[in-house]
Amino acid sequence: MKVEGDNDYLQKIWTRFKSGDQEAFAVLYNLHVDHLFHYGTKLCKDEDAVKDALQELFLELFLKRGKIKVAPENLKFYLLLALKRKLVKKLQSDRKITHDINESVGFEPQYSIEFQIMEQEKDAEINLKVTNALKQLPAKQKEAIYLRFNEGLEYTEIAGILEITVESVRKQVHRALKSVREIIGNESPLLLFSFLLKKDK
Amino acid sequence: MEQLSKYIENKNFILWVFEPTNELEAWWKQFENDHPEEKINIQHSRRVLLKFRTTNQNLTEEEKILLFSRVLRRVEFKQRSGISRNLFTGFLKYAAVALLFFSIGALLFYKQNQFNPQFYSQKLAEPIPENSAKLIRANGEDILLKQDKSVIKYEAGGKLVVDNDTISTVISKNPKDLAMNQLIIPYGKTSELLLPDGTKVFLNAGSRLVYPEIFVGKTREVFLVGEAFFDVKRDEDHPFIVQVDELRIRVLGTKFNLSAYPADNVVETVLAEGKVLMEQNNAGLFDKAIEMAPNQLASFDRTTKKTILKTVDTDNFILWTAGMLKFESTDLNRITKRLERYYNIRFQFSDPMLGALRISGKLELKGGKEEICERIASVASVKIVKRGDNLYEILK
Repeated sequence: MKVEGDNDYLQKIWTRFKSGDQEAFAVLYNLHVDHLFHYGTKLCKDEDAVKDALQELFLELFLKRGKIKVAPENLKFYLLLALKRKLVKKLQSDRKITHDINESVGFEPQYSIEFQIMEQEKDAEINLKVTNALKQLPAKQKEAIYLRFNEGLEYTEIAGILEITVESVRKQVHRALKSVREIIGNESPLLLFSFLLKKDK
Repeated sequence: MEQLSKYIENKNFILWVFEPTNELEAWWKQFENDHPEEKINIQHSRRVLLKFRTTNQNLTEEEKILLFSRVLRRVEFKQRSGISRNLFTGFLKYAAVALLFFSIGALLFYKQNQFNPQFYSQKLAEPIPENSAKLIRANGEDILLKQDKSVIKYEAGGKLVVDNDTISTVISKNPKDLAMNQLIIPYGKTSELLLPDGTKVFLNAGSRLVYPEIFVGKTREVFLVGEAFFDVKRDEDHPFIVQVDELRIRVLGTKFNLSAYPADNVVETVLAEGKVLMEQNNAGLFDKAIEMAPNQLASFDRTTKKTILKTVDTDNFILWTAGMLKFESTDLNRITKRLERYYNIRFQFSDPMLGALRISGKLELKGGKEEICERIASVASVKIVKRGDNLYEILK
Protein backbone atom coordinates (compact mmCIF):
# COMPACT_ATOMS: atom_id res chain seq x y z
CA MET A 1 0.00 0.00 0.00
CA LYS A 2 1.40 3.32 -1.02
CA VAL A 3 1.47 5.74 1.83
CA GLU A 4 4.04 8.46 1.84
CA GLY A 5 4.64 10.91 -0.92
CA ASP A 6 1.31 10.39 -2.56
CA ASN A 7 -0.53 13.63 -1.97
CA ASP A 8 -3.68 12.49 -3.61
CA TYR A 9 -3.84 9.50 -1.35
CA LEU A 10 -3.10 11.61 1.71
CA GLN A 11 -5.82 14.05 0.75
CA LYS A 12 -8.36 11.26 0.46
CA ILE A 13 -7.34 9.80 3.77
CA TRP A 14 -7.52 13.23 5.34
CA THR A 15 -11.00 13.87 3.97
CA ARG A 16 -12.18 10.56 5.29
CA PHE A 17 -10.56 11.21 8.62
CA LYS A 18 -12.28 14.60 8.82
CA SER A 19 -15.62 12.93 8.33
CA GLY A 20 -14.90 10.75 11.32
CA ASP A 21 -13.72 7.58 9.66
CA GLN A 22 -11.79 5.48 12.15
CA GLU A 23 -10.01 3.46 9.50
CA ALA A 24 -8.57 6.63 8.03
CA PHE A 25 -7.63 7.59 11.54
CA ALA A 26 -5.67 4.34 11.83
CA VAL A 27 -3.79 5.16 8.63
CA LEU A 28 -2.76 8.53 9.99
CA TYR A 29 -1.79 6.99 13.27
CA ASN A 30 0.42 4.43 11.57
CA LEU A 31 1.92 7.07 9.37
CA HIS A 32 3.07 9.30 12.21
CA VAL A 33 3.37 7.36 15.43
CA ASP A 34 6.96 6.24 14.89
CA HIS A 35 8.32 9.68 14.13
CA LEU A 36 6.46 11.15 17.05
CA PHE A 37 7.79 8.57 19.44
CA HIS A 38 11.35 9.05 18.20
CA TYR A 39 11.10 12.77 18.69
CA GLY A 40 9.28 12.54 22.00
CA THR A 41 11.84 10.25 23.60
CA LYS A 42 14.56 12.72 22.73
CA LEU A 43 12.71 15.49 24.51
CA CYS A 44 11.76 13.40 27.48
CA LYS A 45 13.53 10.34 28.79
CA ASP A 46 10.41 8.90 30.39
CA GLU A 47 8.97 6.55 27.77
CA ASP A 48 5.67 6.13 29.58
CA ALA A 49 5.17 9.86 29.73
CA VAL A 50 5.77 10.02 25.98
CA LYS A 51 3.24 7.24 25.39
CA ASP A 52 0.67 9.00 27.54
CA ALA A 53 1.25 12.19 25.63
CA LEU A 54 0.82 10.34 22.34
CA GLN A 55 -2.45 8.89 23.53
CA GLU A 56 -3.73 12.33 24.43
CA LEU A 57 -2.44 13.73 21.19
CA PHE A 58 -4.27 11.23 18.97
CA LEU A 59 -7.41 11.39 21.04
CA GLU A 60 -7.52 15.15 20.63
CA LEU A 61 -6.64 14.89 16.98
CA PHE A 62 -9.72 12.79 16.46
CA LEU A 63 -12.08 14.70 18.69
CA LYS A 64 -11.02 18.11 17.41
CA ARG A 65 -10.62 17.07 13.80
CA GLY A 66 -13.36 19.45 12.70
CA LYS A 67 -11.45 22.46 13.96
CA ILE A 68 -7.99 21.53 12.77
CA LYS A 69 -6.93 23.71 9.90
CA VAL A 70 -3.85 22.06 8.53
CA ALA A 71 -3.02 20.70 5.11
CA PRO A 72 -2.44 16.94 5.28
CA GLU A 73 1.14 17.32 4.09
CA ASN A 74 1.85 19.55 7.09
CA LEU A 75 0.28 17.19 9.56
CA LYS A 76 3.63 15.84 10.68
CA PHE A 77 4.76 19.30 11.69
CA TYR A 78 1.48 19.96 13.42
CA LEU A 79 1.73 16.74 15.42
CA LEU A 80 5.40 17.18 16.35
CA LEU A 81 4.65 20.64 17.69
CA ALA A 82 1.57 19.50 19.56
CA LEU A 83 3.51 16.61 21.11
CA LYS A 84 6.26 18.92 22.21
CA ARG A 85 3.76 21.28 23.86
CA LYS A 86 2.23 18.37 25.73
CA LEU A 87 5.57 17.09 26.94
CA VAL A 88 6.74 20.52 27.98
CA LYS A 89 3.55 21.08 29.93
CA LYS A 90 3.96 17.74 31.62
CA LEU A 91 7.60 18.32 32.49
CA GLN A 92 6.83 21.79 33.78
CA SER A 93 4.05 20.63 36.04
CA ASP A 94 6.27 17.82 37.33
CA ARG A 95 8.91 20.32 38.30
CA LYS A 96 6.38 22.89 39.39
CA ILE A 97 8.05 25.62 37.47
CA THR A 98 6.99 27.67 34.53
CA HIS A 99 9.34 28.61 31.86
CA ASP A 100 9.22 29.29 28.22
CA ILE A 101 8.66 26.28 26.02
CA ASN A 102 12.24 25.75 24.98
CA GLU A 103 14.00 26.32 28.26
CA SER A 104 12.43 23.61 30.31
CA VAL A 105 13.18 20.71 28.02
CA GLY A 106 16.46 19.44 26.82
CA PHE A 107 17.06 17.58 23.65
CA GLU A 108 19.26 14.56 23.93
CA PRO A 109 19.68 12.47 20.84
CA GLN A 110 22.04 9.56 20.57
CA TYR A 111 23.93 9.73 17.34
CA SER A 112 24.13 6.47 15.52
CA ILE A 113 27.79 6.92 14.65
CA GLU A 114 28.58 6.12 18.24
CA PHE A 115 27.50 2.59 17.54
CA GLN A 116 28.92 2.18 14.11
CA ILE A 117 31.68 -0.30 13.89
CA MET A 118 34.37 1.30 11.87
CA GLU A 119 36.81 -0.73 9.95
CA GLN A 120 39.32 2.03 9.69
CA GLU A 121 40.95 3.50 12.69
CA LYS A 122 40.82 6.85 11.04
CA ASP A 123 37.06 6.70 10.75
CA ALA A 124 36.72 5.68 14.35
CA GLU A 125 38.75 8.66 15.33
CA ILE A 126 36.69 11.00 13.20
CA ASN A 127 33.48 9.62 14.57
CA LEU A 128 34.60 10.10 18.10
CA LYS A 129 35.43 13.68 17.36
CA VAL A 130 32.18 14.29 15.55
CA THR A 131 30.17 12.75 18.35
CA ASN A 132 31.90 14.90 20.91
CA ALA A 133 31.41 17.99 18.81
CA LEU A 134 27.72 17.24 18.32
CA LYS A 135 27.21 16.62 22.00
CA GLN A 136 28.67 20.02 22.78
CA LEU A 137 26.07 21.77 20.65
CA PRO A 138 23.31 23.68 22.43
CA ALA A 139 20.07 21.72 22.79
CA LYS A 140 18.24 24.00 20.40
CA GLN A 141 20.80 23.46 17.71
CA LYS A 142 20.67 19.70 18.18
CA GLU A 143 16.92 19.84 17.90
CA ALA A 144 17.10 21.97 14.76
CA ILE A 145 19.42 19.57 12.97
CA TYR A 146 17.41 16.62 14.15
CA LEU A 147 14.19 18.08 12.78
CA ARG A 148 15.88 19.03 9.55
CA PHE A 149 17.65 15.79 8.76
CA ASN A 150 16.00 13.02 10.72
CA GLU A 151 12.48 14.35 10.31
CA GLY A 152 12.91 16.18 7.03
CA LEU A 153 11.02 19.30 8.09
CA GLU A 154 11.15 22.63 6.27
CA TYR A 155 13.04 25.53 7.82
CA THR A 156 9.80 27.42 8.38
CA GLU A 157 8.35 24.45 10.24
CA ILE A 158 11.42 24.08 12.42
CA ALA A 159 11.23 27.79 13.20
CA GLY A 160 7.65 27.25 14.33
CA ILE A 161 8.60 24.43 16.68
CA LEU A 162 11.66 26.13 18.15
CA GLU A 163 10.00 29.53 18.24
CA ILE A 164 12.91 31.23 16.55
CA THR A 165 13.23 32.91 13.18
CA VAL A 166 13.72 30.98 9.97
CA GLU A 167 17.01 32.75 9.48
CA SER A 168 18.35 31.60 12.78
CA VAL A 169 17.25 28.01 12.11
CA ARG A 170 19.19 28.17 8.90
CA LYS A 171 22.19 29.52 10.77
CA GLN A 172 22.02 26.82 13.42
CA VAL A 173 21.87 24.06 10.85
CA HIS A 174 24.70 25.52 8.83
CA ARG A 175 26.87 25.96 11.85
CA ALA A 176 26.40 22.35 12.84
CA LEU A 177 27.14 21.20 9.33
CA LYS A 178 30.22 23.32 9.18
CA SER A 179 31.70 21.95 12.37
CA VAL A 180 31.16 18.38 11.22
CA ARG A 181 32.66 19.10 7.85
CA GLU A 182 35.68 20.66 9.41
CA ILE A 183 36.33 17.63 11.51
CA ILE A 184 35.93 15.29 8.59
CA GLY A 185 37.88 17.55 6.29
CA ASN A 186 40.88 17.93 8.57
CA GLU A 187 41.18 14.28 9.26
CA SER A 188 40.80 12.81 5.85
CA PRO A 189 43.36 13.68 3.19
CA LEU A 190 41.07 12.77 0.31
CA LEU A 191 38.17 14.70 1.63
CA LEU A 192 40.35 17.56 2.71
CA PHE A 193 41.42 17.78 -0.87
CA SER A 194 37.88 17.94 -2.14
CA PHE A 195 37.02 20.39 0.57
CA LEU A 196 39.82 22.71 -0.53
CA LEU A 197 38.80 22.39 -4.11
CA LYS A 198 35.38 23.56 -3.22
CA LYS A 199 36.72 26.49 -1.28
CA ASP A 200 38.51 27.66 -4.37
CA LYS A 201 35.38 27.85 -6.40
CA MET B 1 30.19 25.15 0.62
CA GLU B 2 28.10 25.71 -2.49
CA GLN B 3 28.87 22.29 -3.86
CA LEU B 4 27.66 20.53 -0.78
CA SER B 5 24.76 22.81 0.06
CA LYS B 6 23.23 21.90 -3.21
CA TYR B 7 22.73 18.42 -1.85
CA ILE B 8 22.38 19.06 1.82
CA GLU B 9 19.60 21.55 1.16
CA ASN B 10 17.80 19.10 -1.06
CA LYS B 11 14.98 17.28 0.72
CA ASN B 12 15.02 14.49 -1.77
CA PHE B 13 18.68 13.97 -0.99
CA ILE B 14 18.08 14.03 2.76
CA LEU B 15 15.33 11.50 2.37
CA TRP B 16 17.59 9.25 0.35
CA VAL B 17 20.30 9.37 3.01
CA PHE B 18 17.99 8.90 5.96
CA GLU B 19 15.10 6.84 4.67
CA PRO B 20 16.20 5.27 1.41
CA THR B 21 13.63 3.57 -0.77
CA ASN B 22 14.22 1.63 -3.96
CA GLU B 23 12.85 4.51 -5.96
CA LEU B 24 15.19 7.03 -4.39
CA GLU B 25 18.09 4.66 -4.68
CA ALA B 26 17.44 4.25 -8.39
CA TRP B 27 17.00 7.98 -8.91
CA TRP B 28 20.29 8.92 -7.31
CA LYS B 29 22.17 6.10 -8.98
CA GLN B 30 20.95 7.41 -12.30
CA PHE B 31 21.92 10.93 -11.33
CA GLU B 32 25.42 9.78 -10.44
CA ASN B 33 25.76 8.04 -13.77
CA ASP B 34 24.59 11.09 -15.65
CA HIS B 35 26.90 13.38 -13.71
CA PRO B 36 30.06 11.45 -12.90
CA GLU B 37 31.83 14.65 -11.87
CA GLU B 38 29.33 15.03 -9.02
CA LYS B 39 30.07 11.67 -7.54
CA ILE B 40 32.63 12.90 -5.05
CA ASN B 41 30.33 15.70 -3.87
CA ILE B 42 27.48 13.32 -3.45
CA GLN B 43 29.57 10.92 -1.46
CA HIS B 44 30.94 13.64 0.71
CA SER B 45 27.54 15.20 1.35
CA ARG B 46 26.21 11.82 2.23
CA ARG B 47 29.03 11.19 4.60
CA VAL B 48 28.54 14.50 6.36
CA LEU B 49 24.80 14.02 6.64
CA LEU B 50 25.11 10.53 8.03
CA LYS B 51 26.91 11.88 11.04
CA PHE B 52 23.67 13.48 12.09
CA ARG B 53 21.67 10.34 12.09
CA THR B 54 20.37 9.45 15.50
CA THR B 55 19.47 6.14 16.98
CA ASN B 56 15.84 5.88 17.88
CA GLN B 57 13.85 4.15 20.51
CA ASN B 58 11.13 2.25 18.78
CA LEU B 59 7.65 1.25 19.77
CA THR B 60 7.00 -2.41 19.11
CA GLU B 61 3.99 -3.34 16.93
CA GLU B 62 2.38 -4.55 20.10
CA GLU B 63 2.84 -1.24 21.85
CA LYS B 64 1.55 0.63 18.82
CA ILE B 65 -1.60 -1.41 18.65
CA LEU B 66 -2.18 -1.18 22.36
CA LEU B 67 -1.76 2.56 22.23
CA PHE B 68 -4.13 2.90 19.31
CA SER B 69 -6.74 0.66 20.83
CA ARG B 70 -6.67 2.84 23.94
CA VAL B 71 -7.21 5.91 21.82
CA LEU B 72 -10.10 4.23 19.97
CA ARG B 73 -11.62 3.16 23.18
CA ARG B 74 -11.53 6.67 24.57
CA VAL B 75 -12.91 8.03 21.31
CA GLU B 76 -15.85 5.63 21.49
CA PHE B 77 -16.38 6.54 25.07
CA LYS B 78 -16.49 10.26 24.33
CA GLN B 79 -18.86 9.70 21.45
CA ARG B 80 -21.15 7.45 23.34
CA SER B 81 -23.71 10.19 23.64
CA GLY B 82 -24.74 9.31 20.13
CA ILE B 83 -22.85 11.16 17.47
CA SER B 84 -22.76 8.75 14.59
CA ARG B 85 -19.76 8.55 12.38
CA ASN B 86 -19.77 8.51 8.66
CA LEU B 87 -18.64 5.35 7.13
CA PHE B 88 -16.64 4.09 4.35
CA THR B 89 -18.34 4.91 1.09
CA GLY B 90 -16.77 2.75 -1.54
CA PHE B 91 -13.59 4.45 -2.66
CA LEU B 92 -10.26 3.29 -1.32
CA LYS B 93 -11.59 -0.16 -0.86
CA TYR B 94 -8.17 -1.61 -0.34
CA ALA B 95 -7.21 0.82 2.34
CA ALA B 96 -10.44 0.08 4.09
CA VAL B 97 -9.89 -3.65 4.08
CA ALA B 98 -6.36 -3.21 5.32
CA LEU B 99 -7.48 -0.93 8.07
CA LEU B 100 -10.36 -3.02 9.03
CA PHE B 101 -7.76 -5.57 9.94
CA PHE B 102 -5.91 -2.96 11.86
CA SER B 103 -8.97 -2.37 13.99
CA ILE B 104 -9.70 -6.04 14.32
CA GLY B 105 -6.15 -6.55 15.49
CA ALA B 106 -6.62 -3.86 18.06
CA LEU B 107 -9.88 -5.34 19.24
CA LEU B 108 -8.39 -8.77 19.47
CA PHE B 109 -5.65 -7.36 21.54
CA TYR B 110 -7.56 -5.51 24.17
CA LYS B 111 -10.21 -8.09 24.38
CA GLN B 112 -8.00 -11.07 24.91
CA ASN B 113 -5.28 -9.13 26.57
CA GLN B 114 -2.75 -11.13 24.76
CA PHE B 115 -1.16 -10.44 21.49
CA ASN B 116 0.12 -12.62 18.79
CA PRO B 117 2.91 -10.91 16.89
CA GLN B 118 2.46 -13.26 13.98
CA PHE B 119 -0.95 -11.80 13.44
CA TYR B 120 0.76 -8.78 12.09
CA SER B 121 3.63 -10.32 10.25
CA GLN B 122 1.10 -12.09 8.09
CA LYS B 123 0.69 -9.35 5.55
CA LEU B 124 -2.73 -8.63 6.90
CA ALA B 125 -2.56 -5.18 5.46
CA GLU B 126 -2.43 -6.38 1.90
CA PRO B 127 -5.39 -5.84 -0.39
CA ILE B 128 -7.08 -8.91 -1.79
CA PRO B 129 -5.22 -9.46 -5.04
CA GLU B 130 -7.19 -10.42 -8.10
CA ASN B 131 -7.34 -14.11 -8.88
CA SER B 132 -5.11 -15.31 -6.13
CA ALA B 133 -6.94 -17.28 -3.55
CA LYS B 134 -4.50 -18.28 -0.89
CA LEU B 135 -3.97 -19.59 2.54
CA ILE B 136 -1.34 -17.85 4.63
CA ARG B 137 -0.14 -20.00 7.45
CA ALA B 138 1.17 -18.80 10.78
CA ASN B 139 4.69 -19.74 9.81
CA GLY B 140 4.47 -17.35 6.87
CA GLU B 141 4.01 -20.09 4.28
CA ASP B 142 1.72 -19.13 1.39
CA ILE B 143 -0.38 -21.86 -0.17
CA LEU B 144 -1.93 -20.83 -3.47
CA LEU B 145 -5.40 -22.22 -4.09
CA LYS B 146 -5.86 -23.06 -7.73
CA GLN B 147 -9.43 -24.32 -7.71
CA ASP B 148 -12.39 -21.99 -8.16
CA LYS B 149 -13.86 -23.65 -5.14
CA SER B 150 -11.07 -24.78 -2.87
CA VAL B 151 -11.52 -27.23 -0.04
CA ILE B 152 -9.35 -26.93 3.06
CA LYS B 153 -9.45 -29.32 5.96
CA TYR B 154 -7.75 -29.35 9.32
CA GLU B 155 -8.11 -33.00 10.14
CA ALA B 156 -7.77 -34.85 13.40
CA GLY B 157 -4.18 -35.50 14.35
CA GLY B 158 -3.15 -32.09 13.12
CA LYS B 159 -3.17 -32.84 9.41
CA LEU B 160 -3.78 -30.02 6.96
CA VAL B 161 -5.35 -31.05 3.65
CA VAL B 162 -5.74 -28.57 0.81
CA ASP B 163 -7.72 -29.65 -2.28
CA ASN B 164 -7.05 -33.28 -1.41
CA ASP B 165 -3.29 -32.80 -1.03
CA THR B 166 -1.90 -33.24 2.43
CA ILE B 167 0.25 -30.17 2.93
CA SER B 168 1.78 -30.79 6.29
CA THR B 169 1.02 -31.48 9.86
CA VAL B 170 0.23 -28.69 12.21
CA ILE B 171 3.07 -28.27 14.63
CA SER B 172 2.08 -25.72 17.21
CA LYS B 173 0.98 -27.34 20.44
CA ASN B 174 1.92 -24.55 22.77
CA PRO B 175 -1.33 -23.36 24.35
CA LYS B 176 -0.09 -19.78 24.48
CA ASP B 177 0.73 -19.77 20.84
CA LEU B 178 -2.33 -18.53 18.99
CA ALA B 179 -0.87 -19.17 15.57
CA MET B 180 -3.18 -17.40 13.16
CA ASN B 181 -3.94 -18.56 9.65
CA GLN B 182 -5.54 -16.41 7.05
CA LEU B 183 -7.67 -17.59 4.16
CA ILE B 184 -8.03 -15.07 1.35
CA ILE B 185 -10.67 -15.62 -1.32
CA PRO B 186 -10.85 -13.02 -4.10
CA TYR B 187 -13.84 -12.21 -6.29
CA GLY B 188 -14.79 -15.05 -8.58
CA LYS B 189 -13.84 -17.80 -6.12
CA THR B 190 -15.21 -19.48 -3.05
CA SER B 191 -13.87 -21.89 -0.48
CA GLU B 192 -14.97 -24.56 1.92
CA LEU B 193 -13.05 -24.86 5.14
CA LEU B 194 -13.14 -27.44 7.88
CA LEU B 195 -11.71 -26.00 11.08
CA PRO B 196 -9.82 -28.16 13.59
CA ASP B 197 -12.83 -28.25 15.93
CA GLY B 198 -15.08 -29.70 13.23
CA THR B 199 -16.79 -26.41 12.36
CA LYS B 200 -17.48 -25.98 8.68
CA VAL B 201 -17.11 -22.61 7.02
CA PHE B 202 -18.13 -21.64 3.48
CA LEU B 203 -16.24 -18.53 2.52
CA ASN B 204 -17.83 -16.44 -0.21
CA ALA B 205 -16.05 -14.42 -2.90
CA GLY B 206 -14.09 -11.34 -1.83
CA SER B 207 -13.66 -12.47 1.77
CA ARG B 208 -11.01 -13.14 4.35
CA LEU B 209 -11.10 -15.32 7.40
CA VAL B 210 -8.47 -15.28 10.11
CA TYR B 211 -8.47 -18.22 12.47
CA PRO B 212 -6.04 -20.11 14.68
CA GLU B 213 -4.40 -23.30 13.50
CA ILE B 214 -5.57 -24.92 16.72
CA PHE B 215 -8.21 -23.53 19.04
CA VAL B 216 -6.84 -22.91 22.50
CA GLY B 217 -8.31 -21.14 25.50
CA LYS B 218 -11.90 -20.69 26.55
CA THR B 219 -13.33 -19.52 23.28
CA ARG B 220 -13.01 -20.41 19.63
CA GLU B 221 -12.51 -17.08 17.96
CA VAL B 222 -12.26 -16.20 14.27
CA PHE B 223 -12.24 -12.92 12.33
CA LEU B 224 -14.20 -12.29 9.19
CA VAL B 225 -14.23 -9.67 6.46
CA GLY B 226 -16.76 -10.44 3.74
CA GLU B 227 -19.31 -13.21 3.78
CA ALA B 228 -19.32 -16.71 5.22
CA PHE B 229 -21.71 -19.42 6.26
CA PHE B 230 -20.83 -21.17 9.49
CA ASP B 231 -21.90 -24.62 10.57
CA VAL B 232 -20.53 -24.59 14.09
CA LYS B 233 -19.70 -27.81 15.90
CA ARG B 234 -21.41 -27.82 19.25
CA ASP B 235 -19.11 -27.37 22.22
CA GLU B 236 -20.79 -25.70 25.18
CA ASP B 237 -17.57 -25.22 27.07
CA HIS B 238 -15.95 -23.35 24.23
CA PRO B 239 -18.25 -20.76 22.65
CA PHE B 240 -17.55 -20.00 19.02
CA ILE B 241 -17.12 -16.31 18.29
CA VAL B 242 -17.04 -14.60 14.92
CA GLN B 243 -15.65 -11.14 15.04
CA VAL B 244 -16.44 -8.59 12.37
CA ASP B 245 -15.47 -4.95 12.61
CA GLU B 246 -18.03 -3.75 15.11
CA LEU B 247 -19.88 -6.88 16.08
CA ARG B 248 -19.25 -10.23 17.53
CA ILE B 249 -21.47 -13.21 17.02
CA ARG B 250 -21.30 -15.66 19.86
CA VAL B 251 -22.68 -19.16 19.44
CA LEU B 252 -22.49 -22.60 20.96
CA GLY B 253 -23.48 -24.75 18.02
CA THR B 254 -25.56 -23.42 15.15
CA LYS B 255 -25.79 -22.68 11.46
CA PHE B 256 -25.74 -19.09 10.38
CA ASN B 257 -24.70 -16.81 7.58
CA LEU B 258 -22.80 -13.61 8.14
CA SER B 259 -22.31 -10.93 5.52
CA ALA B 260 -19.97 -8.10 6.43
CA TYR B 261 -18.41 -6.65 3.31
CA PRO B 262 -16.55 -3.40 3.95
CA ALA B 263 -18.37 -1.77 1.02
CA ASP B 264 -21.80 -2.49 2.46
CA ASN B 265 -23.35 -0.31 5.06
CA VAL B 266 -25.13 -3.20 6.75
CA VAL B 267 -23.82 -6.29 8.46
CA GLU B 268 -26.34 -9.08 8.04
CA THR B 269 -26.61 -12.12 10.22
CA VAL B 270 -29.08 -14.83 9.30
CA LEU B 271 -29.71 -17.67 11.65
CA ALA B 272 -30.71 -21.03 10.18
CA GLU B 273 -30.59 -23.22 13.28
CA GLY B 274 -29.88 -22.93 16.98
CA LYS B 275 -29.19 -19.74 18.87
CA VAL B 276 -26.78 -16.89 18.47
CA LEU B 277 -25.96 -13.85 20.50
CA MET B 278 -25.02 -10.74 18.61
CA GLU B 279 -22.99 -8.26 20.59
CA GLN B 280 -22.23 -4.74 19.57
CA ASN B 281 -18.85 -3.31 20.23
CA ASN B 282 -19.46 -0.08 22.03
CA ALA B 283 -16.74 1.83 23.78
CA GLY B 284 -14.53 -1.16 23.31
CA LEU B 285 -16.85 -3.32 25.33
CA PHE B 286 -19.32 -5.71 23.87
CA ASP B 287 -22.24 -4.72 25.94
CA LYS B 288 -25.31 -4.61 23.75
CA ALA B 289 -26.40 -8.14 23.10
CA ILE B 290 -29.20 -9.25 20.83
CA GLU B 291 -30.41 -12.81 20.95
CA MET B 292 -31.53 -14.24 17.64
CA ALA B 293 -33.99 -17.02 16.94
CA PRO B 294 -33.96 -19.32 13.89
CA ASN B 295 -35.14 -17.79 10.59
CA GLN B 296 -34.33 -14.32 11.80
CA LEU B 297 -32.26 -11.75 9.98
CA ALA B 298 -30.43 -9.15 12.02
CA SER B 299 -29.32 -6.13 9.98
CA PHE B 300 -26.86 -3.96 11.78
CA ASP B 301 -26.60 -0.50 10.23
CA ARG B 302 -23.04 0.71 10.51
CA THR B 303 -24.06 4.37 10.41
CA THR B 304 -26.90 4.45 12.89
CA LYS B 305 -25.56 1.52 14.94
CA LYS B 306 -29.09 0.19 15.04
CA THR B 307 -30.03 -3.42 14.54
CA ILE B 308 -33.29 -4.48 12.96
CA LEU B 309 -34.61 -8.00 13.43
CA LYS B 310 -37.05 -9.67 11.06
CA THR B 311 -38.13 -13.11 9.99
CA VAL B 312 -36.94 -14.26 6.58
CA ASP B 313 -36.62 -17.25 4.34
CA THR B 314 -33.09 -18.35 5.21
CA ASP B 315 -32.66 -20.03 1.84
CA ASN B 316 -32.39 -16.60 0.28
CA PHE B 317 -29.25 -16.04 2.26
CA ILE B 318 -27.72 -19.47 2.42
CA LEU B 319 -28.21 -21.15 -0.94
CA TRP B 320 -25.06 -19.56 -2.32
CA THR B 321 -23.13 -22.23 -0.46
CA ALA B 322 -24.75 -24.75 -2.81
CA GLY B 323 -24.01 -22.67 -5.89
CA MET B 324 -27.46 -21.09 -6.09
CA LEU B 325 -29.02 -17.73 -5.38
CA LYS B 326 -32.60 -17.30 -4.33
CA PHE B 327 -34.38 -13.99 -4.33
CA GLU B 328 -37.72 -12.81 -3.06
CA SER B 329 -38.65 -9.40 -4.24
CA THR B 330 -35.01 -8.37 -4.07
CA ASP B 331 -33.81 -5.26 -5.85
CA LEU B 332 -31.53 -5.55 -8.83
CA ASN B 333 -28.83 -3.49 -7.12
CA ARG B 334 -28.41 -6.12 -4.50
CA ILE B 335 -28.49 -8.98 -6.93
CA THR B 336 -25.89 -7.49 -9.24
CA LYS B 337 -23.64 -6.78 -6.28
CA ARG B 338 -23.71 -10.46 -5.35
CA LEU B 339 -23.09 -11.53 -8.92
CA GLU B 340 -20.21 -9.08 -9.27
CA ARG B 341 -18.49 -10.75 -6.37
CA TYR B 342 -19.30 -14.26 -7.40
CA TYR B 343 -18.12 -13.93 -11.00
CA ASN B 344 -15.63 -11.09 -10.59
CA ILE B 345 -17.48 -8.97 -13.12
CA ARG B 346 -18.96 -5.43 -13.09
CA PHE B 347 -22.44 -4.18 -13.89
CA GLN B 348 -23.41 -0.69 -14.94
CA PHE B 349 -26.92 0.68 -14.98
CA SER B 350 -27.79 2.96 -17.88
CA ASP B 351 -30.42 4.42 -15.59
CA PRO B 352 -29.87 4.17 -11.83
CA MET B 353 -33.61 3.64 -11.37
CA LEU B 354 -33.24 0.22 -12.93
CA GLY B 355 -31.35 -0.86 -9.83
CA ALA B 356 -34.55 -0.55 -7.86
CA LEU B 357 -36.41 -3.18 -9.92
CA ARG B 358 -37.40 -6.10 -7.77
CA ILE B 359 -37.31 -9.69 -8.88
CA SER B 360 -37.92 -13.09 -7.37
CA GLY B 361 -36.59 -16.46 -8.34
CA LYS B 362 -33.79 -18.95 -8.12
CA LEU B 363 -30.55 -18.75 -10.06
CA GLU B 364 -28.09 -21.55 -10.69
CA LEU B 365 -24.64 -20.07 -10.50
CA LYS B 366 -22.85 -23.00 -12.05
CA GLY B 367 -23.94 -22.05 -15.53
CA GLY B 368 -21.48 -19.24 -15.98
CA LYS B 369 -21.84 -15.50 -16.26
CA GLU B 370 -23.36 -15.27 -19.74
CA GLU B 371 -26.16 -17.60 -18.81
CA ILE B 372 -26.84 -15.71 -15.59
CA CYS B 373 -27.06 -12.43 -17.45
CA GLU B 374 -29.62 -13.91 -19.82
CA ARG B 375 -31.71 -15.20 -16.95
CA ILE B 376 -31.65 -11.91 -15.10
CA ALA B 377 -32.52 -10.04 -18.28
CA SER B 378 -35.57 -12.18 -18.95
CA VAL B 379 -36.85 -12.18 -15.36
CA ALA B 380 -36.41 -8.44 -14.87
CA SER B 381 -37.39 -7.52 -18.44
CA VAL B 382 -34.21 -5.59 -19.09
CA LYS B 383 -31.41 -5.84 -21.61
CA ILE B 384 -27.92 -6.81 -20.50
CA VAL B 385 -25.20 -5.92 -22.98
CA LYS B 386 -21.59 -6.95 -22.73
CA ARG B 387 -19.43 -3.81 -22.78
CA GLY B 388 -16.03 -5.22 -22.03
CA ASP B 389 -14.19 -8.26 -20.83
CA ASN B 390 -15.92 -8.31 -17.49
CA LEU B 391 -18.24 -5.36 -17.85
CA TYR B 392 -21.96 -5.51 -18.50
CA GLU B 393 -24.46 -2.72 -18.97
CA ILE B 394 -28.07 -3.03 -17.92
CA LEU B 395 -30.52 -1.15 -20.16
CA LYS B 396 -34.26 -0.81 -20.39
